[in-house]
Amino acid sequence: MEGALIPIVVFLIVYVAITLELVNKAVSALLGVMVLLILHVVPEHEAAALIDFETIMLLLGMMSIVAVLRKSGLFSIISVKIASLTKGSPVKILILFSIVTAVLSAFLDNVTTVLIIIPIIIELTRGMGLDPKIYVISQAIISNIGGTATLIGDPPNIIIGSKVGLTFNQFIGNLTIPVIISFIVTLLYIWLTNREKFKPIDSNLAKLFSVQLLLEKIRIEFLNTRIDKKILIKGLACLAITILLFVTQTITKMSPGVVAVFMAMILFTISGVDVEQMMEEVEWSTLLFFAGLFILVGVLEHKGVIEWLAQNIFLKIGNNPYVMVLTVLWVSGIVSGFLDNIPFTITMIPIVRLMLEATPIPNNILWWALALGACFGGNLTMIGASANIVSVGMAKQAKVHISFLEFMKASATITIITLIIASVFLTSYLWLSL
Amino acid sequence: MINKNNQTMYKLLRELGNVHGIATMTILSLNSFIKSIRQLQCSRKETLPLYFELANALKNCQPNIIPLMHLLEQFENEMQESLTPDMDLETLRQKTIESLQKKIELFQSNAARVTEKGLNYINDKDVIIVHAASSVVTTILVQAKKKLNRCFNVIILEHNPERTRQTVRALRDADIEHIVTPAHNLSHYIEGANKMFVGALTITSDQKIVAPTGTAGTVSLCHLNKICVHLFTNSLHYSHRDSTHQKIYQEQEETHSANMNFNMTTYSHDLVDLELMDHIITETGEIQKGTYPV
Repeated sequence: MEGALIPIVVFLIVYVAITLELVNKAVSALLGVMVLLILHVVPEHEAAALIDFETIMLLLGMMSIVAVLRKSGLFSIISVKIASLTKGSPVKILILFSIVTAVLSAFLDNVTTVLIIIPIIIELTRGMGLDPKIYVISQAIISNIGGTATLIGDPPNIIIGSKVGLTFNQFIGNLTIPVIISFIVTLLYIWLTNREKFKPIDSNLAKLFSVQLLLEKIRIEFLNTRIDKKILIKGLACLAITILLFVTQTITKMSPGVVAVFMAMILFTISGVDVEQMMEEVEWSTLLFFAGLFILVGVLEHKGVIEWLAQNIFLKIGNNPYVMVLTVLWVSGIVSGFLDNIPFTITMIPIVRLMLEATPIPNNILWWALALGACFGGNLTMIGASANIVSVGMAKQAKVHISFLEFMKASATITIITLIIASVFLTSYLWLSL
Repeated sequence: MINKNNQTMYKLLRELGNVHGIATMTILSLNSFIKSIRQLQCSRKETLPLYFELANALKNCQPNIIPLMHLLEQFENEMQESLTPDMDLETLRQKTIESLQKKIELFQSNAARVTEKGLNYINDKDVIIVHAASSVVTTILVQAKKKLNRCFNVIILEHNPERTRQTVRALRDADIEHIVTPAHNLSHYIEGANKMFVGALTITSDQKIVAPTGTAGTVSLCHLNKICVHLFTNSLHYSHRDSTHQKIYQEQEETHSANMNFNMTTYSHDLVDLELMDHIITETGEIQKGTYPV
């Protein structure tokens, strides 16, 4: 591990800065990279080569497609339609919005999903005289669970898929079952532990009246919403083709990153949108954050730090595949609850590779353990996933204050339950595979 | 019903009134009352008190929604008259819904008659100022163009973005020439205008109107410049109480500028002297000042 001290110190400082949100994430990561470049720990070209452009392209492409769909008014239609379907029933609000959140977050990024769902759910529940807190928390949790199902649903999956070469179909095929079970059990848990809050309001005329008034208001707003049908149709068509190309990846041999950017550029061309305006919608700071982290972890890998960590921590657990799978799952789950799951996943990928070199495990089960752990673990605390932070922030803007402990009170048990579900699934899968 | 629920309801009603105008809000409220009655699950004994409790809560809205208050008072009287001890739950529900539907029809019919009378007040080459255009005012403008093919211009004073958008859309669809400007820029256009059209939430017993915020300043400027102000309203907007009893919502909000914090008080509606209205047009036609039946 010669020359590893500087990158380790820089990495730890960056990690602390990201976790405690001392500086903007992208700035923290790039500042760390700049320190390494200035101190000649790594040359510029070598550093640039460490960036996983497949991941960056996938994120850039999907962000661009979502930006065009947002402009079309699609998300307004979805949220308003769902609000009308609930007819003001608290349980229906929980179930219908959760289904939409789960499906959207499986195909869009989780932050976009909560940005669409949270404002309308707060307006709806508050208008009914209900406490919006549990609804906000539930949607953040569900977005993390739903996002786990696909390659493009959650950043850890994008990273794992791109760096390991796992396909869209492999993600759906292997993760859908634990995700659906976790989704149902989570909803049941939320309902069982908050039954008072989900009581029907059909015996309260004043609340029924407020709900009807609110739905009328939403209906009028919907009628006044400008839907750009041309952009909407083209956007949906491009999204459908993108997903189709993801699914047929093994036939077309096109990587998801290439597909996403290609379809985004096609959409920009045919939709006639203001590209400059769309480019402003792309989260450049997230892309820069990813690029910086890839370099920081890549340097650690080159200096042998990752191998040392693998040898001295993860490989010490022995070569029992059950123990290995459960260790990766639970360590990922718990660590992702307190630290950002993006840098954690990037750090874990070379470690898991080394573990697999030492003891091969069939059907990529160790990778699924990492994906399930990193994604489900994000629910453990308010700072575990970007969707949680954004949801709580939006609630705060609407004067609904959710404390760290309030969030954790609801989310910690759910995280443990979902990790148990994942454990049962993975050990059964492993038992069948061995 | 706890007070917090009422406050939520009042806030919602204020938002609706602010964005869509009093007429739309009154109809939406009555429609919502009907829909909530259909969904209500309770015993026959509990039903009527719950109906009256909601009606009472609505009558105490901040600010008072006078047309809705009158319609609900009529509804309560009708219900008390037609109620018999042996009336079953379903019949009671049906009767209630029928009564509320009649109130909607009454309100719509009054508004339509005001619109009809209002058409006589638009001539070719008029330049009309509108501020927070009520649905009655907007309908008069649109029908004057579509039915009578009048050629006139409208100066839309921006009230709130959504309401302005709705007015612009209605005028644009009807192909009516218009410009949009903030109310505080009216002085630049005042010399070119010859009429102002306003609607009102209430006409009080002390000869004032309760109107959207900003109306008072605009009406005063028009009055100073001898521009005829036309008030379009119907008799359901007359209040038996004076302006101090209209429960105009007052909100105190801490605000800051640079490094200084201060409390700002805002009112949901303006009060305007009825004397400043040159023409008052109701469902029966124009009425003379001083003969206003409040």
